[in-house]
Amino acid sequence: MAEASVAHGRSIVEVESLSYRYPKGKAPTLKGITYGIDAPRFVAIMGPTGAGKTTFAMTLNGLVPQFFEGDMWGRVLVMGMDTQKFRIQTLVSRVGLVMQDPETQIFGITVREDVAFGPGNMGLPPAEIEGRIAESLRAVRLAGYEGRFTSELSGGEKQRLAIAGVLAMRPDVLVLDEPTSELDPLGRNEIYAAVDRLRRERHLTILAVEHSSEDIADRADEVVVVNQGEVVWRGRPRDLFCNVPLTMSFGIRPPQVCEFGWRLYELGLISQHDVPLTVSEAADLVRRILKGRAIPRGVLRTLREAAPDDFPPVTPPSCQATLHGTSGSDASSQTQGGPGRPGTTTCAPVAIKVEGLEHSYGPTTQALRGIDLEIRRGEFVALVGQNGAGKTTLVKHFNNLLKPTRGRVEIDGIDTRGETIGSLSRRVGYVFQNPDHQIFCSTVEEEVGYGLRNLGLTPEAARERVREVLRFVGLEAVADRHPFTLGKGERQRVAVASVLVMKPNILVIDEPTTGQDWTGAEQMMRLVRDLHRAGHTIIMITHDMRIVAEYAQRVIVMHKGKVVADGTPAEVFSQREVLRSAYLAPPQISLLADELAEIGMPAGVTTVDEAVALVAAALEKAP
Amino acid sequence: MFLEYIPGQSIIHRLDVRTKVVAFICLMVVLFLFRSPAYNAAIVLVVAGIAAAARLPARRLWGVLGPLVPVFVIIMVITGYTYPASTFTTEAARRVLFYSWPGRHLPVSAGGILYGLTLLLRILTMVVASSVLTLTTPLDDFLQLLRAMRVPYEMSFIITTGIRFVPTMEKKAAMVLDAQRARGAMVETGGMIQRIRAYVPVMVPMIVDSIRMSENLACAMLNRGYGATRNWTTLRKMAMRPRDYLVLAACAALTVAAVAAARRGYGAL
Repeated sequence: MAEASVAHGRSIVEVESLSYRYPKGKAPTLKGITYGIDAPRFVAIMGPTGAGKTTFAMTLNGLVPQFFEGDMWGRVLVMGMDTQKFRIQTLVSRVGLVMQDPETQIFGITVREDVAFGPGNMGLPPAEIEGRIAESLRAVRLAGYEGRFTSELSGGEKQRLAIAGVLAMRPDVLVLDEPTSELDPLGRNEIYAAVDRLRRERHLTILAVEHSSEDIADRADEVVVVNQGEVVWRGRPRDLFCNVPLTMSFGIRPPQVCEFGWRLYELGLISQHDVPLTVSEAADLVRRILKGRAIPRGVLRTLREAAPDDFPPVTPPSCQATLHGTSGSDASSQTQGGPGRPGTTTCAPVAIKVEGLEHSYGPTTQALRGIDLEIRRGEFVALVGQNGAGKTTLVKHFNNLLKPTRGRVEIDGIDTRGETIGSLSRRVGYVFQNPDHQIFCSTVEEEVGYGLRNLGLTPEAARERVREVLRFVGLEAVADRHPFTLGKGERQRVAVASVLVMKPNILVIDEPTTGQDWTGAEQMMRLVRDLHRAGHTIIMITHDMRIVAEYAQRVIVMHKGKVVADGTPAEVFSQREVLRSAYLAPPQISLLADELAEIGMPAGVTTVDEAVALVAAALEKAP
Repeated sequence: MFLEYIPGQSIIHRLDVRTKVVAFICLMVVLFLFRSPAYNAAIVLVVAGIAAAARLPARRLWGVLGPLVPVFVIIMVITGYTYPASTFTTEAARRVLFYSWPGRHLPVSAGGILYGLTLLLRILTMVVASSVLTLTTPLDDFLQLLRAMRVPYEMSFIITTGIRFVPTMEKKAAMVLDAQRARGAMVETGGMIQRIRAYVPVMVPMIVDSIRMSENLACAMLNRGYGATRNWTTLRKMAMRPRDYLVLAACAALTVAAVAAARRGYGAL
């Protein structure tokens, strides 16, 4: 069907000077967008949060303006159908929209029932529906899941099921709104494998709203940048991402290898034309410019010793005595040493001690299988691993949200068994991923002060403490505002503040950057770094290895309820086998180091700065 | 959870939903014919046999029954006291077992205890029988039944979606509760009023989240063509087989026989 309509040369998507304003909206969300697609392709829609990407996606199947109402100007035609003239229910058989949260897009109790929902609504005969169920589930690699309960699927599986449910209506155009933003790396890979397959096997046009430039760099045929309701740029990914300042000016984080290439260009080592788009291109480039020269040994260590402030310190600054002993965790030394444990070699007092910790959620599901761990005061620990590895289960033991099935946990030398969640909240602050799961007061100030009610402070003392915390997180100006009128980033700060107010030394921060655009993620990470510098012990759960490389001092990798690696980012990222088995994707620079191992690039390189300095050092050396 | 289907291939699983519902109604009629615990015990045994035939996990049933044990005991005690001997027709039931207060006050009759036992057996039968019905019948079959009874699609859609979102809401509630407790909320201490007040921080985010979810849900329904046609298709078709007619005939015969027996005074107390 799709092939036939394309063969006629009719345009697939046609958007003519589209503007749209939400009901009660002050300014239009979309402003004069003109855009067209006339051959099946994969288009990435990028841009900062609030740019209008989701609204644009919803104009394509008529949700805007038919469901959301408001004022719309201009025209949107999909497969020749005007989205204002046909009902949404009619349009959906030509254009399928998968929204952000898969949870609210699943209607069936079993996978099979869910996929049948769409075709059933269309009134198709049962035999036809059966065929479509099989076909759609195969397309997203969920064949064999027919009888499974939808409530028992993982995040990635739910997302793929949401896509299958829409595919079952056999649309010619598939619109995906941030299909991977909430997923772990494994889940992301599953989605993109499914997308690749769909493109190979059907002539589908796919439009995906996506924040991750690295995921789409060599996939998208075209990138459309939306900013403040306007299309500000469109073209090939290469022309965008390889121009790093241009990409950044749109609030988009370029792929790490592009940043690497751009730095080499700025140093005058390559021409702008040579900036690479992918890891393999970057590896070829380095080989070409080094012309057989190798990267000199020991440069990485000198670099890290020379500029301790620019690179994550290996030990907390308070611990001068042992600095010398642990600074040798360079790429050259860790090859003999195996996984180092920076935390256990410092002299700061132990903040968290975990011994033989096991946790079972029932007779059959053991989430933790014997964890032994020591985290010292002032450490910045990143806890990584795929969903279901036991990260959240582990940290919930730090403040008694969960109790050990076996083993013990000590916080500041105190056994948690004798404590309550309330008493531990003064030692361990837990910042949850979604701030909306805790906000309930009508002003930011009240919200932040909530935890103090049970502490027995005088009203003045409590007020002073709230003010102090709001100052620290930069929310002083909005103290009287309603939390729900704030942006996502600010609401997240409210959540941080409401925990800080209890004055805990240890902060557990669960996925602080998930679902945020680059600017939001950077701002959040700057706050986390400030908290660390202020003396807090940080335990951060994250899937973003680039953030781990740039901010954390220590990485703990979990897999199937066990700690499988523990060390500095450089040490952990060079253990490729461990990362692979734990389904973690190391940063692109680490992958580049892998490819360049034969010319002496140390496996411990984790940041763009280090990689650039190493290449520059190799070039300075006489040939 | 209640209403959770356990897939299986037993004879009970394979019966048509209509047969099962009719059999269930017959059972309920028979259950209230006899006051004697002996007759009700026999019914319990039959239902237990059916549960075994359906291969229902005993632990699952105990999970439903266990919490009811205190209720059972209270029912026994209360009926023992509240049913005076004069309300019973048989000689054995009229006998007063003992007086709990000196001077022949607060009598406990044999009939009262026996009737308490009957009530208990009836509850047991109802719990087990309804578990057999719901655990062996997929939700889709019940929806088919509703459809056959000309209940509108919207109605059955609401039922499925409601059930589908129970685990989602449970998970959300747990997350909100954790988030609040982690910042010092005291949820499980204090008196009644304090506890209700302590739930405000849990209820407000839940309600806000539900509103957001319902808007997404409405969009997602449209995205899947909800309401595109009045003739929506369901994959399952109900089909009566010979075994269904056989079971229905047996149910009818047994019910008639039971009514006749009760009229003749069998199973009285």
